[in-house]
Amino acid sequence: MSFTRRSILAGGAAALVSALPVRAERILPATGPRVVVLGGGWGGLTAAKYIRLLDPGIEVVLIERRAAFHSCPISNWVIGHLRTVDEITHSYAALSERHGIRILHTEVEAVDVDAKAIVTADGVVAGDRLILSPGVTFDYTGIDGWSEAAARRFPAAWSPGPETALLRARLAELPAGGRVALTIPPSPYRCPPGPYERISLIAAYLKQHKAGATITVLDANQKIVSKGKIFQAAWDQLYPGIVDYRPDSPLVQVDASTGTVSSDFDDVAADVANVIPSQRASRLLHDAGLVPDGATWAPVDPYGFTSTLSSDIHIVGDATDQTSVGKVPKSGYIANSMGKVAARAAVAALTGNEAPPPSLINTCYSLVSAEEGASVGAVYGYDVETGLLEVRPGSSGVSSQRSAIVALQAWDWARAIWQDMLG
Amino acid sequence: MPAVLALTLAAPGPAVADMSDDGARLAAPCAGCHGTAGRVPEGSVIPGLAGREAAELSGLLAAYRSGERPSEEMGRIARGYDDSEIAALAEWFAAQPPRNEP
Repeated sequence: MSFTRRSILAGGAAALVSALPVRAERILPATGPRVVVLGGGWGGLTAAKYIRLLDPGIEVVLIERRAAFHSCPISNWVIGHLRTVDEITHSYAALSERHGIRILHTEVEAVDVDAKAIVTADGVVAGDRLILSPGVTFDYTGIDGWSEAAARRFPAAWSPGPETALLRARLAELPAGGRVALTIPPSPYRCPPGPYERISLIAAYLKQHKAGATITVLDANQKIVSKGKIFQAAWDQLYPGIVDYRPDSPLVQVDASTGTVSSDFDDVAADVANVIPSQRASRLLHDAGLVPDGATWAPVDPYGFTSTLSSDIHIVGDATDQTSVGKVPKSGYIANSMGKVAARAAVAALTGNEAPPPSLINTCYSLVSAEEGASVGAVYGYDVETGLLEVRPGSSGVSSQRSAIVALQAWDWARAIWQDMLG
Repeated sequence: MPAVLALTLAAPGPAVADMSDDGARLAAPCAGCHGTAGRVPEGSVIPGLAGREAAELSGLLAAYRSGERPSEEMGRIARGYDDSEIAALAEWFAAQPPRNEP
């Protein structure tokens, strides 16, 4: 794959490699068959743990920048002051202590496809197979006025961490009668119902704590992307006069000095503004040649989530191209399901077995208020005719109305799936 | 932060699956709500599945699938599986220890 090597040597990664104190030497020599997992998010964690559960004879090295896990699901609850940052922050320790996974906390500079190695700030880690779960890169191109000042004024809070706490704090400081603005990028983006859950929980917070305050939404999409009837009914019934939702309104311009976000039709000057940007596969995948020129996401064969451009490399999670996978959402639950399929495929390849066909589930829970929520989900199997994951007939559905039980299930789902990945 | 944190090779947890076990393959994604190998966190409103009678579990899945038993999520999920898959799921969860071994 000459274009891959060229892209590593001459592409965007090369500039970073030369700018940072990367040592080229190999570190962590393997003592047996090894899988190197890039990314301690939902897909990578699941893959790492399930490889060890399936075959403790396979060594797993997990490479992750952050010292602790921050959950993207439930982070809207933190922004809405229903849960704390601590409640979505979890330790990686059990993965090493209980499951014998070697965890390397370091910056990743590049993926070396030909060497099946990850180039990090601490050195190069090679394996027999790679599982890449690097998530998304935010893309602010095309927004007039975007700048470092704009990035501070309009945090995304679409990866959990400091911006989650920042947006939460700014809402607390909002004056009575103040105005919040939120912009939604074109689909596909990470977590389809996520922006609408966030709108709902911000509205709930304003209703309870900030008399007269409102939230104005500029949505690039023509309608609510997920659970539309449920969210619209909640806004109409629970938050009348608080949520001003404007579909078909892509963000085209910002002004950091006045806090204004603009579509082609509207200028919205806000006290607190949250710009959720357009998204594409992590730049690491683009730089490595694992995303074709001009494409946005990484194509895979969903039978084992191997890259269509390199059969020893699996790619899971939000970075994958839905047109190659099938109609699965970019959700945490799907990333967890993908991680299990990739783990099974990697173990099969390393042990001379045939991988069984994939079977996946998605369920996305969203709150519409502190007390009520709704869910959407489906079961997916592999279709040999199309080579895609297809919804099992009859298994796709969404709640008919919001309910209290789903709000309870949502929190217990989070606890269960965090434990499935980290426990 | 030290470069390598995890040199301790603790005994891994019990294997949840082998490659040829269809129940394990189908059951793996159920863990998202019902916990790894059907063991939910303490106090969950979502029921655990590990160690329950296979006949009970397959009966519940069939009742969810037909709509005889109403639900928020399980009706649609159960419709994703045929009779033989429901049997494999029920038998696999029935064989799992209900608690993590110490």
